[in-house]
Amino acid sequence: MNPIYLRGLGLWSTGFANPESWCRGEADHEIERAEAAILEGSLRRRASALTRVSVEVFDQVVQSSGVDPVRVPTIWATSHGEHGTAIKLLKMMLRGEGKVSPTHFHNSVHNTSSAYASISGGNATASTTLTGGPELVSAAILEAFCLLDAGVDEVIVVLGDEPLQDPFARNDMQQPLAIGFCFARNPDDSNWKISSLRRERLSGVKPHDRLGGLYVSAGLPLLEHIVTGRPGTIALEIESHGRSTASENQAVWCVDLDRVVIS
Amino acid sequence: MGSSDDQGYPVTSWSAINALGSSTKDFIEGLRRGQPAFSPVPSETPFEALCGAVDANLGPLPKALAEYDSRNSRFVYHGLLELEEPLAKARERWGAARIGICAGSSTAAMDSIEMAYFHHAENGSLPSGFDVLSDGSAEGFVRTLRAITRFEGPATIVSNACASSGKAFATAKRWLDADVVDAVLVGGSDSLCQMTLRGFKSLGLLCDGPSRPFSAERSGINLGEGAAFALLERTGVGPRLRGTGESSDAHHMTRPDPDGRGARRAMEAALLSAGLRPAAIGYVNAHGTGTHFNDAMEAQAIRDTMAGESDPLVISNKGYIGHTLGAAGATGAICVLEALENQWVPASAGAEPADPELKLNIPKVAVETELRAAMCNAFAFGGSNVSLVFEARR
Repeated sequence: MNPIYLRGLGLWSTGFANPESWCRGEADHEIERAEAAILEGSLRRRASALTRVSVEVFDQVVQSSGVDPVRVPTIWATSHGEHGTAIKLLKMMLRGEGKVSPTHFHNSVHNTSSAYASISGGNATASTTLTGGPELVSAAILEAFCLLDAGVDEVIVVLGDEPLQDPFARNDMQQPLAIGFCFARNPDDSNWKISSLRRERLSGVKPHDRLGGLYVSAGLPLLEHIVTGRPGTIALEIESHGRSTASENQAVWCVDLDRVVIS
Repeated sequence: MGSSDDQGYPVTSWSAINALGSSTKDFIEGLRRGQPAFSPVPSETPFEALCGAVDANLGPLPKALAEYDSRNSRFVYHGLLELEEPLAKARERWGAARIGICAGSSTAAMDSIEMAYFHHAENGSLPSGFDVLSDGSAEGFVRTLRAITRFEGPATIVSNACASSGKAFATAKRWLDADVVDAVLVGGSDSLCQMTLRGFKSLGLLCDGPSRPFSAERSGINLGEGAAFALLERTGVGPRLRGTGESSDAHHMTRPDPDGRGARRAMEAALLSAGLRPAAIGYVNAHGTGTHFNDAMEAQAIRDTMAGESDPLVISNKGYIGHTLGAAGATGAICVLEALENQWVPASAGAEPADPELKLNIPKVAVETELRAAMCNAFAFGGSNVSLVFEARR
């Protein structure tokens, strides 16, 4: 595979409205809800926490990269999808005649964030939503590599999850998180490139210590290396709940992050 | 890097399990008989309707896989059991690290989540041993697939609602094109659950009787369930995946673009990717849900794509087994692969009397015909579209 080049970044989590504040660890307690300003009014009102944070980060990445939001192909990755909406539907099923809301139902699909962004922004290009466990982030980055390899100029990747809710809630999942990247096929205006994605035995790979329960947080080390200017080999998997594939064969998906050298 | 002659990738084996039976043979014989396989929805459903339920005692997963046991994973396990030999041969030929897994699912094991939630509501605790990460999520699906196949290449689940497993073929083809893998197990699986039954009912999309795609008397969907898998290899013998096309409607969460522009773009992109003209397409396995809007939109999109060059046979397999949601695209692909291998097209069950407004060539009975290439469509909530083009082996 050819290298891919970074064009833009985004991050939103409760208390953090951009990648820089996250990397500084400076939480702003007034940041409680993602604006998701690009959504049309009715869609914004109906959007779940996951959709709001994911769409917010999509917009951040569009702004930071300067790509055309109407034409850019997108990849969305979420481990648990619209879990909160599913819980609302389950509650409805236990009430009265057990009827469910049609709006909640169609908003329960994993590709709701993608659809809301596409409908609001008029983006009719291909969009793929991936799901899974510890390998989710690497699969999304692989999809980006392959789309760019196939001739696409730029692609936006949004990784997003919201905490599981009762009765499935877990202590290690307390807040929603979305991380975004724009990658390009050509190096123009890029300071960083990812030169390879591979599965390798790495020592010292540890779960991320802030949001370890959300698989999409496996994208945080890559984002943090970029924001803090540190090239290196970076794992894209977290060992969460003692269940990483790394424990099965001692190898994890990782990328090589390098600075783009202008000759 | 493409396949040896840049003509796509051979699908060397495949399997399907659905309401017509628990084996590919059952499925194909059911299509040949032209007999739908609908039954009443589960008794806990608060309304009457028909569905395409898998009517087989599939039994629990073997002990080693017991932690992943669910209705969905049983479909996966039994679907893959049929492919045990070709999967082993592929492992030997390419090496486990060079074989990927790309499957589609919309609800995955939502029925397990429902059972756990209702158990908690009644008893104040989740069922003993229930783990949401294994039993009720896509993670469990990935782990089940890895455990059964022992493939070590990339593995992911595409979840674009009803286009999921169709889009899995597109992702898998990209992996092969980029030389990330030499083979991919592609497919999809979804099981019936109360959430989807009640959800589609709330949208007014379920019909009272059997679903009748493309009929003038069509009135909606029957939901179904099942799994379908295909082994794509860099080289080998079988019908070939020639092209894939994907698009978004950018229109509405549940209603398709009435002019079928998104669907048309996906079909045109698939033909372009395949390097084929519309004239090569002799059969379209349509998304064909049986709703008024979908079938009208898709008919227009097919006519526009074919542009008078071809008048392919168009069927929907949903008239036999219902809409298998995340497994629908892969199930449609199996119909196409069987058609190309054996040069025939099933009847479009329930289509009579065909809607004349659709202006499609809908077979009333199974047709033996010479097929060079065929297309399979899958569309989804959110306006996600995918079209696949396969070519008969030469």
